[in-house]
Amino acid sequence: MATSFEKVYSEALFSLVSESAADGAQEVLTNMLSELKAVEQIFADTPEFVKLMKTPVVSQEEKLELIDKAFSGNVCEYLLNFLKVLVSNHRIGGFERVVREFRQRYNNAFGIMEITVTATAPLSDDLRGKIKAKMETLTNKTILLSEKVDTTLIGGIILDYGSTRLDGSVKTRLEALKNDITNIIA
Amino acid sequence: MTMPGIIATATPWYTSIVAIDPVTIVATLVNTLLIVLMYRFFVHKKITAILEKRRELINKETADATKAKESALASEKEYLKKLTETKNEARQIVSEAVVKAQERESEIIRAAKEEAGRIRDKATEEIEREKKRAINEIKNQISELVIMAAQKVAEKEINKADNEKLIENFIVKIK
Repeated sequence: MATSFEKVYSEALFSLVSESAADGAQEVLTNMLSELKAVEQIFADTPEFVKLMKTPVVSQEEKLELIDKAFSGNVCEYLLNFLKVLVSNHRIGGFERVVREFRQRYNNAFGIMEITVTATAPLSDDLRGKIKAKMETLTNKTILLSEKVDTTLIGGIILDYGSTRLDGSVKTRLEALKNDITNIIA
Repeated sequence: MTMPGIIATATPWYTSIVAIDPVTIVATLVNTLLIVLMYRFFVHKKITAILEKRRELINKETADATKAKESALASEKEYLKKLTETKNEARQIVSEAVVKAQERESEIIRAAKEEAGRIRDKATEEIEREKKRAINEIKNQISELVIMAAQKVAEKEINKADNEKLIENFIVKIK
């Protein structure tokens, strides 16, 4: 569950970007989300940078300078300033959670549902389309599919969205069968 | 009668021996009186005091002896009383000790029985638990073997087409 700081910061950024482009809000917000994901990836790839941003040994001015040097010209001004605010308020460590909250807010605003599909091998386009269509019909939302491969499933798929899991894997069916057998044997 | 050869006179010769001389009589009486008076004034009181003292001593000793006898009798009585009491007390102590011993015996037996019961129950529970654990283990092993076999078969038998069919069936069932 998101803490208040993540909600506050993500909402502030979301509102700011939405208000700045009243007509093409979705496009600007989509760009912002992409940039947020990119920065999140950079932070994930270079944990030393985040560590540096958090350490009290380096002064705030130096940290802000580093942010400028690293991201100025590569991300929009809003995001650059947002990163500086996070650094100034010692909240840069929670950036990942802010992005997650922003993404959720974005999805809610534009009726998007993110679904993770886990299968034993990459899905064919046909299957992907069928899953998307079925879930769009059921949820009445635009579906964004992301895929994961897990060969231990043996067969079938697992769908994860929000806090829900739909498990149609052979592994789980065998597990259920195992429990049934254990219960049947007296 | 007159002695031969002796001229008889008017006063016989023995008259001087047995003659009653009033002076002598008076003197004797006075002597006696003096003796009596001297005894009366100088000796009688002392002798009487000694005798009185002696009587008192005898009386005291007699009283002491009587007292001592009475005391001895009282002591004997007291002793006999105490002896009886002691005997009764001893009897009561023994009786109480016997009762206590019996109670303790009963308590020990009851505690031993309870402990034995607890040990038996614990052992029974342990046996039951072990039995259940063994049964569960066997059940798990059986089901694991069955699943392992099924898994091997599934891994071998499910090809791409089967898998796609499985997924399609699953998608259809989602509600």
